[in-house]
Amino acid sequence: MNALAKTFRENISRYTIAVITIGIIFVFQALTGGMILRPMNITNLIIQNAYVIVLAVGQMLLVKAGGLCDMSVGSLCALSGGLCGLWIIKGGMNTYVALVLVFLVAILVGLSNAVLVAKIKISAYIATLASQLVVRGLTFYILQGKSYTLFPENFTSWCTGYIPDFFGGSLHITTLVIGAVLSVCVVMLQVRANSEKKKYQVEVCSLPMFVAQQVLIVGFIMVMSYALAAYHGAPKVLVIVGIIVIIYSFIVSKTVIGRHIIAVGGNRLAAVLSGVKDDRIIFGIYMNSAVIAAFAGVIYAARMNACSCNVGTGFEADAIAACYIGGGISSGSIVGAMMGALIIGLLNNGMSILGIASDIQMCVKGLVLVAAVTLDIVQSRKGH
Amino acid sequence: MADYIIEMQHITKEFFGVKALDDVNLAVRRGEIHAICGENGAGKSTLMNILSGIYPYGTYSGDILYDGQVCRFSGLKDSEKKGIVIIHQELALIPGISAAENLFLGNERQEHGIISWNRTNYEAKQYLNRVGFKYQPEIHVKDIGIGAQQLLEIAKAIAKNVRLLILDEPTASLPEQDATHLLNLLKEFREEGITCVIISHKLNEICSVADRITIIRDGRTVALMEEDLKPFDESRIVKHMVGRDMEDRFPSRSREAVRKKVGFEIRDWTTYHPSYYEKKMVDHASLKVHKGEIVGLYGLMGAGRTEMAMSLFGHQYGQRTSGTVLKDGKELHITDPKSAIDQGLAYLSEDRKGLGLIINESIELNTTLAGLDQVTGKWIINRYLEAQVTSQYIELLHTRCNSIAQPVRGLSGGNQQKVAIAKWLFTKADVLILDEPTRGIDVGAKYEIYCLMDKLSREGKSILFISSDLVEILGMSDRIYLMNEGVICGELDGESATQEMIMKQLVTHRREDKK
Repeated sequence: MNALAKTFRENISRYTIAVITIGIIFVFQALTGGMILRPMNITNLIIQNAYVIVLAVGQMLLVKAGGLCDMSVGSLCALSGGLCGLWIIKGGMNTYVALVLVFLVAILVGLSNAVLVAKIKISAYIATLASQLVVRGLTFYILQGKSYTLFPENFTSWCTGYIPDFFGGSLHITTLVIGAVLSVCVVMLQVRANSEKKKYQVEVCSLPMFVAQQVLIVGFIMVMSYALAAYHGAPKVLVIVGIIVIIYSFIVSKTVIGRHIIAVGGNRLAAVLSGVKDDRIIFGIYMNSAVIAAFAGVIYAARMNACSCNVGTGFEADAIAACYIGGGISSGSIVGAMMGALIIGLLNNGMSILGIASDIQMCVKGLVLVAAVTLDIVQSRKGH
Repeated sequence: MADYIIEMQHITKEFFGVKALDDVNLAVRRGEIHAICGENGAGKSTLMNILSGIYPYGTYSGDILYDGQVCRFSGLKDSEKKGIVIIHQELALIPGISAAENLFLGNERQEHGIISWNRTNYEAKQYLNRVGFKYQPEIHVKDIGIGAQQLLEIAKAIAKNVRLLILDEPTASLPEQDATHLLNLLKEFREEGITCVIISHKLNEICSVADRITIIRDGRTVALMEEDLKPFDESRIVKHMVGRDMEDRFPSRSREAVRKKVGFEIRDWTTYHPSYYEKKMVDHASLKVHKGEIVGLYGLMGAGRTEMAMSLFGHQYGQRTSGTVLKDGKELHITDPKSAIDQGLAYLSEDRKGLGLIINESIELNTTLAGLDQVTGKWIINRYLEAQVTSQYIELLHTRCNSIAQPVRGLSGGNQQKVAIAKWLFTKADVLILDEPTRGIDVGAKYEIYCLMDKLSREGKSILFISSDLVEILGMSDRIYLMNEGVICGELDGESATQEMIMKQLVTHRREDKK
């Protein structure tokens, strides 16, 4: 029992965010009379917040590399959505050609951010704030203040659509099957990691603890899949976001690039003296941030089935908040960023259901951010 | 009974269980210039930080008596109120504002909350004249040299009605002329009744200016040289500073390890200060290290040792750097640390926390950081191999830790150093530049590191061993280079060299330098 308590204490910081999420869910569940966990609402929550998760993932790399930020992502969402509208709706361009062009534009913006921050060494906040203004201005210029609506089906479907069901029936069986397969994969990976750890004499948690962890994970996945299956099934965008989160988690934890990002964030001078090319890393993550932002912009435009000049105002704030709720520089991770984004989404969604005005919503989000970061600092102090 | 302005009695201070100061006593007479001498890490700065309240009452044991009364400072402000001002080696001036503004920072000349610029500049002028500051009070601090900045710091102290002025290495980075001016100033202050405590490595200066000298070694007061010993004898001070048992502190070295072939060589290496364009930090330095040889590079602080090593290792220091680096007789083309590492060089930094380790990350991350390629497939790090490698180095170096995932910050100084060394061993470098590898770690860990150096040299590696600890330089080196003011000013055989010979050569070089 003592060992269990010890493990819990040592890992509490890792679970903080999960505890916060569950707490928020409980509060809203009680206040909304169960609305928040209805299958339809869970599906909506995912579709509505996919873009925040994507933005937070891109921003997290910057945060891990030493608390950097990209203030231009919101404007870039507007620009990429706007270009899609201009080219596809107004110009009638082929969707895929337009998407390729949009990403090329994003790469240009990313290149300019990267050069300003990594080469000319302007402070990250100022450089990206400037490009936020420029990109927003460009959006107004190309759209001439107009909005475009009604994208073709092939543009919107992969964001608002659902995975097709191959079985039929009132429950969406395919979703359940995917959930089950995912559960098996996760457990298998954990078991494998555990046995490898043992082989290299790395400390592992006790068997009951391990089983309890697996039961929780599988339980969570299956409950989620059931909830989705009870509505229309898994939204396609969930699959896309899931793949992005997995790829970026992998990059951070298992590749040289990820390792170098952490090293630069931990102590830039020491990293350089160990042969890390800090400028190159920072250059790369700013390029990445722009591409990710364009992607989020396209997702957003597809969900709204429209584009306009004012899209994306304050998106960067949500993304940065998500990163710091998800652990920040020291304990942050890609999964943490995703959870942070979901917490913000939950707050938006729950408070909207409750009919709380948007001014109060903003205040609450700010307070939650401060609370999360404070909690993180208090816990890391305890660790010393 | 003598009249003491300050008495520090039985001061003991521990850092994480390591005693930095052990029952230290210091008594400073009113109106004298009192010098404190000791090697790096002897505890001089710690003692001064206690005196000025940076380490507040309660974090140490022992008493501080000021004017005969017990003082319990809880911070810098408390000691300043009593008229104690400390001027650190790294000056605490703000470069972007004027000298006058710096002078009255936190103490602004104001009327009803509005700064009176006329009064500020007028009064600043009075203080600045007193210390012989050559510029107008309106000049920005970034536009004046280090010597003038030092004077400004002193003027600032006078403006606070200083009674006890503590100077930590005031002349370390000053040209000779400015240093002389500063020392004369201290003598003038003595006439006016201001007491000075001066910490310095420059023994000739101390001998000429100090009334009494307290010598600290390994956190203990080992000697107090009274006025009747004047004129002070430098070699006597050195003896007190370093004199300790040499038995069994070092593994025995045999000459067989040293091979004929030169493994590492520098020719005509020159570099300039990164922000002061004219200040030459390393001046045409040339040296060579044979394979299997440990070559000591000795010099006092500010001699340019670290600057040379850092500029060698991928131009991480200095500007207008020039010279040639050769390994195994072939010239190296080093553009950045990565290329230096790829060509078989390793540099263990003297600043473990600032430049050596990523302190919040795991032992594992730190161990493999410089040699990550070795545990990486095409794209993916083999975490299991990485864990295995890390464990091997923990075993090899006897690093005491809980697990490979433990953040480095939780380790003791010696074990942190072992992680930093493991990182460089893992790169499989042939040339190891070890900058103060035993700084701030306990005696046991020091011995382990000496043994490791010996072992590495037997494997045929070339080791350049930089240190300002004379004893370990003499104990470990096959050959010794001396460095002073950026110049390599002497070369001695490690076996026959003595402390007296080294100090003599350095002192002679200083004198020639002056002429």
